[in-house]
Amino acid sequence: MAKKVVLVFLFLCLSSLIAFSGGQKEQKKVVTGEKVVLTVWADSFFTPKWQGRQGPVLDAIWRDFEAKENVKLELQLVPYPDFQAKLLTALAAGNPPDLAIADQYWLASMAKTGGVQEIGEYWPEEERKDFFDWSVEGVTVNGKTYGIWYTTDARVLYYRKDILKKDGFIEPPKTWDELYNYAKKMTYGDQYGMGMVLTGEGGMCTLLIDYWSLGGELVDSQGKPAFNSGKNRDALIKVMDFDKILYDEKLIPGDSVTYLSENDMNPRIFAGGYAMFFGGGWQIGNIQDNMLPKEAAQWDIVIRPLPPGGKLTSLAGGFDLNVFTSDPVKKDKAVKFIRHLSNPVNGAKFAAASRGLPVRKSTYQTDSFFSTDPYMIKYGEVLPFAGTRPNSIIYPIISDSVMKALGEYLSGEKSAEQAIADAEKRVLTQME
Amino acid sequence: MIKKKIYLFFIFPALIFVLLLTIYPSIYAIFLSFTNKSLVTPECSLVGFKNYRELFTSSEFWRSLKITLIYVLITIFFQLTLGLFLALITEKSRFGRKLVRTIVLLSWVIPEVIVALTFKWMFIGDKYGLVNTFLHQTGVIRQSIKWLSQGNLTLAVAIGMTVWRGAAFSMIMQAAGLQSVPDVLYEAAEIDGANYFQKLYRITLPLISSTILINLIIITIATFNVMSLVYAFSGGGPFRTTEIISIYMYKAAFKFFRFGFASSISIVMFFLNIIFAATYIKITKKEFIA
Repeated sequence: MAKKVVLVFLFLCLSSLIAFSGGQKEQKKVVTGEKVVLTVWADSFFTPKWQGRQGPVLDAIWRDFEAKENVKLELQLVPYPDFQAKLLTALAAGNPPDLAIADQYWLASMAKTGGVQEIGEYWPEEERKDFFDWSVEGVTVNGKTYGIWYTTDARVLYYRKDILKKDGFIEPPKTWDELYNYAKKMTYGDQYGMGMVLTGEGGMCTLLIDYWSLGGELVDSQGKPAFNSGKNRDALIKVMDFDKILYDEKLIPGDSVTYLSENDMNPRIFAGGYAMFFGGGWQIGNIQDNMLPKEAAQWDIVIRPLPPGGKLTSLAGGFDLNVFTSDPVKKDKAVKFIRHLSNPVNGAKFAAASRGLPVRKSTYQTDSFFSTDPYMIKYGEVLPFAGTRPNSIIYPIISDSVMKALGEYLSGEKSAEQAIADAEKRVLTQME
Repeated sequence: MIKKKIYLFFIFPALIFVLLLTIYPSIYAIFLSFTNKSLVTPECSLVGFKNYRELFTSSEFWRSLKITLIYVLITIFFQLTLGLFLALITEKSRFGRKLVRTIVLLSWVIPEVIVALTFKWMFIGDKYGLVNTFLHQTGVIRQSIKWLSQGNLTLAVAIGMTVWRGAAFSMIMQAAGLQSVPDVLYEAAEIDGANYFQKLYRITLPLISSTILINLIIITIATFNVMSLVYAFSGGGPFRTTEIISIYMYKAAFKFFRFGFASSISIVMFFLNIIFAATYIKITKKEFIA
């Protein structure tokens, strides 16, 4: 009898579990004319929930769209560090949001899952022309357009005008040789001549600019790693050599090898510990927000100094607006929303409030802030030379391996050639 | 009969949770470790022992394992002894015992990421680090110590940080054990002329050996599986000198999305945890119980 009771109970519990677990949710088709609900995943930085300048700005932009298009935007905040894993998991489970604001260099992995929607046909050619070329290429995988680039940054050289002047320099450095000489002369006391990130994705962004400047490519046309062959390897060795000189001669702080992003330099920047540093576009905002206006005004920016034989370049990072819903009505509204966010007025408002940089060329001519602010004018001049990280699913593996190689070389564990060769082996093993 | 079997009814919900949340994921992880499962590629197939072959032939894995063993062994030694020391001194001092224990316990309740970032900025090199500033001002050092740019020093600070955070837990465990030791044994020992250390070695330690054993197992497993504390502190750097095995696994899973390979690392970690636990049980039984 007791056995029967237990068995019946077990059966009831299991059947209820099966009944409630279900499979993939069958999505209800949305009928034209109904109020459309769009689920949006984003880090709070890109949403009206942000407790800073851009919060109220975005609130007005989002509410305006909801009212105009009879749409309800259902926001789910996803913190940046977990975002990619959560999004890929949702895509694998067939349950992604309707749209998301995602880091640009994640696009290749999202496109590979087949879950991100192509939006090329919804994005008029005339509108597209206003975007920097690299920003259109950055949202394109295998000839298909998977989103609109929302906001960007550009990596440049920051320098303190007062320190340069005090040490006898009239202009900022334009070449590696000058950079080295400036850094050497301006390293004294508690002050380092240079600041830079030497590990993590921030380190890779720093390295890539010089690497590209020397004509280096990370992947070949087949999508295979190419950094250990011919001119690419030569370029990488030159960059690693230059970094090692700065590191060995203590012209940059030793703990640069623990910084994962440019933001890790901020405390020392605010405390006056650098004369120059390689930083991102958003950091001018950090400086202005955290330093006295008189001190902040001493910082200026210039395109990165060139290696011998190098060409002008920068790196643009940033975030895309991607659509995942395949429902025609929802997709139409979702694309309208991302075009609404990235239109010249709203894009500029968000970029100005969040200290980001707009990706539309016209903004730097027409917007009252971006066409007059001295820093933004300079960024507007740098951005046409920018490049983006390759839209390849092996990029994160290459990035990690190259940074590992740099670490092995800086620490003296391996020669540059050996470290690069081992990095390629690691990538190939993980690609199998 | 029904009354006798009614316990099954009460343990059933817990059983379901354990099955769904522990047993199923564990079995699934074992299965994944034999596949090339990745979040990026939709295809997934069985690859036999390929992941394990890659793992055991990877110099990075052995390096991570070595760093992990150093980190775990030193941490648990100091965490256990410091915890016992704190438990003993707070046990003796009747005045403010609860206050002292509460203050010490604060380190345990602070979130790991906050602890890590606090330590990071305390130990940053040159004058901007709190520790260097203090050492400068007290005349202990003339040149700043590069705590975070020299591998061994960074690992030492990571160990110190883990000990600081975990000693409170260890103290509470040992204090609970100390309270179970009858006072009459100490009184008898005192009459026989035993000194403090004789009482500690002959009475206290043997009687709290089971608590020590449990504590050892818990802190060993906890330390072996630490991830966010060290990751937020150093990211595994400089030059991967603090890349413990859990960070190695985390990167494989959530940076490269190689779930199959990451699962093979987790299975190896699982067996190492079992070996740790079994070894401790054996050793401690010999030392104190036999």
